[in-house]
Amino acid sequence: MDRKRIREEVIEILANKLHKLPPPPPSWETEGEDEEPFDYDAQVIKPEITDNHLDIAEVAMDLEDAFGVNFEEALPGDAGMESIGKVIDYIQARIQTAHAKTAKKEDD
Amino acid sequence: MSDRRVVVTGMGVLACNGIDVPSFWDAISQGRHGIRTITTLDTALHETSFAGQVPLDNLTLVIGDKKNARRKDRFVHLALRAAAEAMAMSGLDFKNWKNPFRVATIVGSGIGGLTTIEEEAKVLAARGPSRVSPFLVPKMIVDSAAGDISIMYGAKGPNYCITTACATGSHCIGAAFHHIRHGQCDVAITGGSESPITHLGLAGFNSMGALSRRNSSPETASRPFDRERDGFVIGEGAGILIIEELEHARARGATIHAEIIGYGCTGDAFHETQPDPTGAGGIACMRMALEDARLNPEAIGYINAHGTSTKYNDSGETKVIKQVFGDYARSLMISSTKSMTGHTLGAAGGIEAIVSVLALKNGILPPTINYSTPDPECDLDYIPNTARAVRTEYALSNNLGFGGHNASLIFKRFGD
Repeated sequence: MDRKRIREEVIEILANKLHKLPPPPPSWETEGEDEEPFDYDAQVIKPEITDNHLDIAEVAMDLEDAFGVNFEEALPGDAGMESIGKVIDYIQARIQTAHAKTAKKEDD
Repeated sequence: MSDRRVVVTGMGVLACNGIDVPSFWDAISQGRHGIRTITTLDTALHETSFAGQVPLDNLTLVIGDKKNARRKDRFVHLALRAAAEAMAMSGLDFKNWKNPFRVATIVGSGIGGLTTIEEEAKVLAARGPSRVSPFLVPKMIVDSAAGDISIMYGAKGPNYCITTACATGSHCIGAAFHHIRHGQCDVAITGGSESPITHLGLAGFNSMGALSRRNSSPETASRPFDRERDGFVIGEGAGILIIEELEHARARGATIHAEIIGYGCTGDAFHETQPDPTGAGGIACMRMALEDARLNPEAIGYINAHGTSTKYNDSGETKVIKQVFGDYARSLMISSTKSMTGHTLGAAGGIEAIVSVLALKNGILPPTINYSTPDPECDLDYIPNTARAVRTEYALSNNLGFGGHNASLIFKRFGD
């Protein structure tokens, strides 16, 4: 899954549950066409969008379900995943690691 | 005995036959029920297919933040909506409390977030512990109504939930009454809320034989004191009152609807679900309320009975009323408005306190509907089927809960 698709889905999930985040554009193809695009990647999660630990736990579960990854040592908003962009990077890295392991098993 | 008097300045109600005080009182005073076939569950496997459902879906119930509506169980939404009506009626300026620590919130529920528990139990079974919602606990716990109401209105005084099954609402009001009377606060938001119409709720009460199974005629199933009664009709709803110290209410020009003057509470210490057949606990409870109100029994004009439409309760309550009131019991006017609302469990005390207040204020005593066949064991005047225009000074409201919890409140007409 490429970063663009991961990004779209992460933003959809976060905007659905964290209502201080502006909703995503009706179509990702037209993002930013009519006005200055909102910089989702740079958006810091805590405390700007939320500092409610229940919110964070809930979106973490939704992201885990959507991408088949686990937030093991840290959750979105914690150190290393302060912004939405960093959450996307984390998920992309986890997916790539999982694919690499799968490919190696198939080779062995 | 404290000189502080406690009055009712606001009321909010949701029941199957009314979604606010005006529509509810209109239905109650005209003998209209709201018992219908259940619409929100598939009842094919259940022995009872009807209940008293509040005719509002979850999103319509929500006030304020609809986007976060899913973070509260239905019983909390019912409580918040009723509290909003009560607060609006009271005219209190909750955004500018002089001292928020003088405002109490004592609101209970018998079961709490049963819908939430059922939903998350399914998630646990199907997907494992790591998928259980982080909102399970704050949604399901019985005190979340009190907590959320206090958050909404910035109330920082005594703040808790009492859970005594079907006596919950009455005990909450009684406790709030005490706090004001003893000078610990000046205002209280109090009552009960319940949303038990779920698969587990229906199945659990049916398994113990408590519910009516009159599926062929749900509209006549709740028939308190009638010889053909076969169990209660489960209902949902909320009844919230704003009660206030009298001088505090007068100083701000509040409209006063009634006065609370007495509260009694006892336990049966007998059985998990059945009342003590001797009635000792119920007798002591009503006598305690009368003593607290400094009234002779003959002063009471109307009793809003617990009257659940079960064999044990209705005959037992009749016996207890006779013991407390003696020969005067024959002159009492008694009704069970559960005949119209169903049994709303933890909300009943709040809803029926509102009925008692409105009965005094309006001079109309609501009926016990579906009364057609007298029971020799229930031989008092239950105001059968049609309301009665009678002005009375004092009303007593009884509620009794599984586990042997008894509560009685006495209200006095205010004004003139």
